[in-house]
Amino acid sequence: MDNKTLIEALSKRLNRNKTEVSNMIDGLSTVIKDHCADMDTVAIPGFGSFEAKKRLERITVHPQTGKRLLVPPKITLSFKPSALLKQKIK
Amino acid sequence: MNQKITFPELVNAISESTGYSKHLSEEFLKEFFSLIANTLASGENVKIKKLGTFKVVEVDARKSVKVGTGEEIEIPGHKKVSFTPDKELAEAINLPFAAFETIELKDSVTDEMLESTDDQPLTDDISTEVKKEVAPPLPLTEWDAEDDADDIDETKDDIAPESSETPDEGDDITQSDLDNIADYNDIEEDDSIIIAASENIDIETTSDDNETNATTESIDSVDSESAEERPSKTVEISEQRIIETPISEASINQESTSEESDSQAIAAERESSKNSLQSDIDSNEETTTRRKGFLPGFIWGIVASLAVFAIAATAIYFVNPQLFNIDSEASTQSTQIVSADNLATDSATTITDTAQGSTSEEKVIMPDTKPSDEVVYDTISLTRFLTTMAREHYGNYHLWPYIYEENSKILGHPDRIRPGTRVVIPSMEKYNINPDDPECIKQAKRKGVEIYNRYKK
Repeated sequence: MDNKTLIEALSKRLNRNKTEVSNMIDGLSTVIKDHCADMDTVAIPGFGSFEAKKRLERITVHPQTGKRLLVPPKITLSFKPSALLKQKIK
Repeated sequence: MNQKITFPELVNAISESTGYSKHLSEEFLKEFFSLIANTLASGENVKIKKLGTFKVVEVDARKSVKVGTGEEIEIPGHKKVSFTPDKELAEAINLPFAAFETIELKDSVTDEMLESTDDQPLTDDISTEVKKEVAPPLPLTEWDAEDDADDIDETKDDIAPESSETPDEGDDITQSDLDNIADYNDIEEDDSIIIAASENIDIETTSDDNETNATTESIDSVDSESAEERPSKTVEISEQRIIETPISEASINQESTSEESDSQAIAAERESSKNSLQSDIDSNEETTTRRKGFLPGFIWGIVASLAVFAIAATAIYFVNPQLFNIDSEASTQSTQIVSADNLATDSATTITDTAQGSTSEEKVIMPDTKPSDEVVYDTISLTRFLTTMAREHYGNYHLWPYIYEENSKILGHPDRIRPGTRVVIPSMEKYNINPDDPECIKQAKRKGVEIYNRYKK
């Protein structure tokens, strides 16, 4: 399901127009961004939690050239599905 | 920091950022995530703009061992959710580490070296910076001001150290002036240099005043102690000043008349030198009035020579008024040289030598820097990045943004440069690059972040 169909389905369910729904999604993404940039965890009951995780630097080997590369440390946004969602998907 | 944002908090935050009611925000969140969950349950992927993609991934059955008993079990194949954040979102979250890039390790780097550095991935970079800060940087004009301040302190204590200090100061100044001249050639940073230079002039003149004050103070103290030797020494110094100043100015004049093409810079020099001389005269007059009661013969000689010099200076001014019209940035040089040289108790000839030497050095360097930016090319490959080039040509990979800036017309996103792209390596002088200066490295880093920010939208 792509972004367009998701917004359409949501606007039908909420009885709101599409711009309102897309504004909501934008708001949600900025809130998640702001909180995760502060290394906070955003938890959504029944769905999962969005969490910023620090990854240490590491050394990888380029499969084609065989050169060793030092990958720098970074912060990634990870999603941890809740038990309920896991059960649902299984 | 490390807080858990609960559902009600999330609802509040969203209603705040969007302006919709809390009720609607809550309803939206519930519907939004239940819809995603249902869609995922049906085995479909969900792509949300500005957030990311939720995917359903099949996990194959695999064998494992029961932790308690050691009994072999088989975990059956199942599905799980994987989430890939949107590129924008991921970059925003990784912003603190955005400046880092993947580096290729050379064969000379052994595993032991890596193990020793593994524990301190971030501090390594910082510690090198700190080391560079500890190492004495090249004498900049700011440092000269500080040196002057030191000199003032020492002159208060004694006059003798002052004379030993001033030659050093002169050296510093010539070096920093060469920097200034290099800056002068740099068209892009011209304005900032003008400001910096004018500031330097201010600093110099004020420090000059301080120095003269210091000398008069020392004279006073000596007077009260009624020691005969030392006052005469100070008068000697001031006398020498007067004798030396016309010579140094005359030398500069000679240089400038012979070099009409450089007249702009040198005219400015002359003006400033004149100013400084004038201020010197003023201060000397001050000292002479104070000393009048003690050694009238000296004083009258000094006053007479001052008058002669003033007449000469005004005559020069009226003959060539256009030479004094331009106020420019290179003027610091002569101000500094003259003020420094005047204080030196060495013979007048060596002083004029340094003045001449520095002006001639200037002439050597001015034509030198222009042809020195002969174009250096390098080619991007799978293993040669801008950072590699920066390390080879400048000695520090953090300086890559300057290469990027030079070629910004042909390059797109700095991480997506096609192999085979031929780039121009700008000369170090063009962007005033100094790999030993931590400030320069910091500036390059800031520039790098700014380049990445250009491609964020």
